[in-house]
Amino acid sequence: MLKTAKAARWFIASVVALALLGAGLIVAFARALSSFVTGIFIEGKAANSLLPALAVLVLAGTLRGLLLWAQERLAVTAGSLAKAQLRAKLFESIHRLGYRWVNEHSTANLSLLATTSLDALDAYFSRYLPQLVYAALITPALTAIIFFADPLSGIEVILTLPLIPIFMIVIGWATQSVQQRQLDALTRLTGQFVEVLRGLTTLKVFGRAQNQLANIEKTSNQYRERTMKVLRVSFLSGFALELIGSLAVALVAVSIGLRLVNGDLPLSVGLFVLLLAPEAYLPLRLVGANFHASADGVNASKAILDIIDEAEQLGSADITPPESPALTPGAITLIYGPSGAGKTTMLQDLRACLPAEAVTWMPQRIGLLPGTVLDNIIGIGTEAFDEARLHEALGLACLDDVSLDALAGDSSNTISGGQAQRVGLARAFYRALAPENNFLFLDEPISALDSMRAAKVIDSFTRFAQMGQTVVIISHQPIATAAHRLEVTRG
Amino acid sequence: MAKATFGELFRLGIPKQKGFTLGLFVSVLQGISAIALMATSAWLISRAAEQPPIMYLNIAVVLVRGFALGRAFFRYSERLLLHNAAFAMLTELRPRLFAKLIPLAPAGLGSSNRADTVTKLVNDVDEIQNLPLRVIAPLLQSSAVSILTVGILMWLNPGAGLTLFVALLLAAFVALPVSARASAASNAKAAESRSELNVASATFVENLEVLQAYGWVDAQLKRVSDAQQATLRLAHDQAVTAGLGAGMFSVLAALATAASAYFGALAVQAQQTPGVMLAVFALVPLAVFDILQNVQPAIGAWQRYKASAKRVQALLYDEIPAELALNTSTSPLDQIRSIQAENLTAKYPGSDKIASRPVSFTLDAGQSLLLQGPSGSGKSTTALVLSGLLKPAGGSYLINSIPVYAYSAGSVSARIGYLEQSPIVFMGSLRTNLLIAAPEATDEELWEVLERVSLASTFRAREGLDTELGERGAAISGGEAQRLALARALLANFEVLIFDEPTANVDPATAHQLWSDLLGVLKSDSTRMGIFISHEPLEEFNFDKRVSI
Repeated sequence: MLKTAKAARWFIASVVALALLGAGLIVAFARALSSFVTGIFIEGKAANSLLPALAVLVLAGTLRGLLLWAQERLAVTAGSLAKAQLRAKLFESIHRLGYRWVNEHSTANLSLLATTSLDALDAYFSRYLPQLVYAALITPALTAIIFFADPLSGIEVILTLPLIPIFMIVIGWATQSVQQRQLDALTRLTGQFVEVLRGLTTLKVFGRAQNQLANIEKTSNQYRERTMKVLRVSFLSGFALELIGSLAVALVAVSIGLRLVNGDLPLSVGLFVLLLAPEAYLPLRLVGANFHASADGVNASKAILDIIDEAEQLGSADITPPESPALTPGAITLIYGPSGAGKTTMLQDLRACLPAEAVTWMPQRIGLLPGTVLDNIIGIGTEAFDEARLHEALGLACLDDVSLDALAGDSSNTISGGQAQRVGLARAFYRALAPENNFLFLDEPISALDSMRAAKVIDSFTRFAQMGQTVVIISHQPIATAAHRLEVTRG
Repeated sequence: MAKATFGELFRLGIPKQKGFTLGLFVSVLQGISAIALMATSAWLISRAAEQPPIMYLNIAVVLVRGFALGRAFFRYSERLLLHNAAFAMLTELRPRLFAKLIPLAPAGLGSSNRADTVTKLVNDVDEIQNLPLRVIAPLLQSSAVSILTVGILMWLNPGAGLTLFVALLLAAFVALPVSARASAASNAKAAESRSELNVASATFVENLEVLQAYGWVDAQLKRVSDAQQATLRLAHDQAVTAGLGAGMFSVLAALATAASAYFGALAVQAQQTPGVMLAVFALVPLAVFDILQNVQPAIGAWQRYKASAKRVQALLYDEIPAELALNTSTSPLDQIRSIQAENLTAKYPGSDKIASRPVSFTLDAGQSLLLQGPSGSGKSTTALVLSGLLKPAGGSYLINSIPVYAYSAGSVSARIGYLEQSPIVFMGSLRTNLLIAAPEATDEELWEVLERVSLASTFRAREGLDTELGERGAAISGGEAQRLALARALLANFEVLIFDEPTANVDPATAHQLWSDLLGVLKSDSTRMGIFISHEPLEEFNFDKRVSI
């Protein structure tokens, strides 16, 4: 993933610099505090003579504050940047793979991948990845300093540190299979509430809504019991992290205490080590804590990278020309046959063999884009357009009852199915009226039109044929002016 | 929506279970253990430096180990107790909420995009658990621990106690609000810009065919990258402010430590305090600030909770709009012989605007009616009125020549069936989906009905009544789903069947066949009436009556 997201590189370099600086500040803070305490308590110095130590302490704390601020900025910005690059790459790949590839896959899943799943990468980039670097740098650095200050404490830290990853792995192993089974059951149970809500009207119509109340409570309770079973296990890893962290502090404190009693160790070193020890464990504990949150992001990025790979392996398109129906310029060819017989695929294959700029294609699913009707006809973000051509297209498509400024797209309810189809027709006609266009292919173009408008639109098809264009229409409705008829049957 | 007070919103998310109080108590114990671990460790090594006989250290050694264990153990129990209480609360909330929704469906659930309403509601309910888990528990823990520590420190050394108190106040009322502002100000904007980005992204994927066919791919990609730039800027601004809060925390912690250590040192020199306590003064403020850090996410969590709780609260306590109130009459409706509408209009609950144009017709048993009109003419709203799911806004609606409100609500709904535009297919088998309409029906009866709606051969070829229909009916086509809906209506023995755009999700070739089959099934039955809603004139079909809106 790092390879794909270039932004991640300078990000890692900056994180490394900040991490080392942070470790230095932690050490300065601990050193200042321990020397102040020992200065007063052991050496009996005056508090005011040790004010410089306190100044160092406050300075270290302030710089650490600045550092935290920089880290937060860096993490979030780099995370969004990496996401932006990955998104751009993903879309480029989807574009290369083409809409037929998209249609073969679940559009809903791809949409989800391009939106929600990409957002899941946030936790990975802005939390998990920096923590990983901190754990790789701060933990060893602080451990080394502890070791040089007091070898025995250093050894204790070195021996207990690996317990964190070991525990995480062991607990992870032990729980994975249980968790997966439980989670499957959980998804089913959460689904139940969604199902009854979704079907509320149906249940009400059949007088079954009241019956669901007891059911919802029962399922909800099962959900609680199951979830608690899962949590009892998954919280164990948090428990282990917390336990290792605090027991390590206790271990170091007690062993330092016992050596201080014997006079084997000065208090200044003891206090210094006691302050550093928890800081050495912290980054590793945070890696553990952020591990699960980042797992979603990692899964999402795997799916995205698979698509990018697939696009990269795509050779030059080698579509063999289909058994093409005899296409006559200046005439209408009608393709008909039962649903699922492959009419659309046939026409798409045919289209792929022709120069793209010479073909206009009106798909069955109109697919209006968010924007105005005008945007949808002349193209989003297009400033200049041919006014005369637009009016001709509008007339040919019978688009006489929709304002060009009306909003189209999935989220608007302002345009009816029949109107949307005529916007699609106007879009196709506007393009087909361009001088470079020779082919007009339409997939079920009049299915949602009333009979009067359908007749007018069929006349428009004839007009295009008369202009010398090759018009091919897939339709289950009869088109009297078609010169050729081609039946496509299953198989 | 009635405005809910802070107290009402707060109470909505408080679990009533005993485990909740216990969980909060354990959570405070956890915080105390964390601070006590630091304090006893500091005391232990300071005392040890005085080289007393080792027995004087034994209690401290035991305490250090005890607090270390306690910190982890209490954390684990606290999380389990609180989660269990929060889930139990949702278990009570879900059926309560569902009961409130029943009278609202479908007209009272908002006209636009009902699937979205459902998802939002489910998320809102799930969000309620975050009040106990992510708001109350961390706030209570850190305030209880802060007050306790400041109190003890104040008693030991007023100067140290007071400075810690001031530093904590600054952290709570300056540093935290700064972070909170970052999330509050940019949350709304961020949500907006994220949704813009999501719409642009989804449009790219879903309409790629059009974009490629018309050469608009680059234009759409530019839209995506513009939206992306906007979210990047916002994320950056947000991080700057959020980081500022975190930075202030660190500065305040250092200042509190220095001040506490300094006052401790003065007291030691004045021999008011034993020297072993100095390390305690120096280390405890750090530990308190560590715990206070957990409060930061609580503010964002509260804001999210508040938004969801408001919506849930409104559903639970708002009165049912008059348009949806049930008939109070108890006289039952026997067989329906005729229905009659006279200048009948409808409006959506809570709206002042009449949503439909007036409709008039008379329909007798065995007849079919086509209600045709362009989108936006209020056909679907009228269908809801005819189905008894919404009260008429004007005009009259008579059944057997008597106004509909003279009959008991139950008897009307048992005889008039409304078939939604996109029939709901429940996850489960074909049998489960049919038995919703008639729980007592035998397999033979089910097959008989499937035969009538021309589905029998399709499912015989599959796994019969045990065929799984998949999530949201993924395993069957739109036309099959409509036939299934008709089968359910026949099983429920409705006398009036009201179809709302039955071919809306069916491809054109199938639509024709479906219309003629639906009409055929109704015509074969002289007791049932069918009302069909469509935007198409359907001239080729023979309806007994036609009404244009």
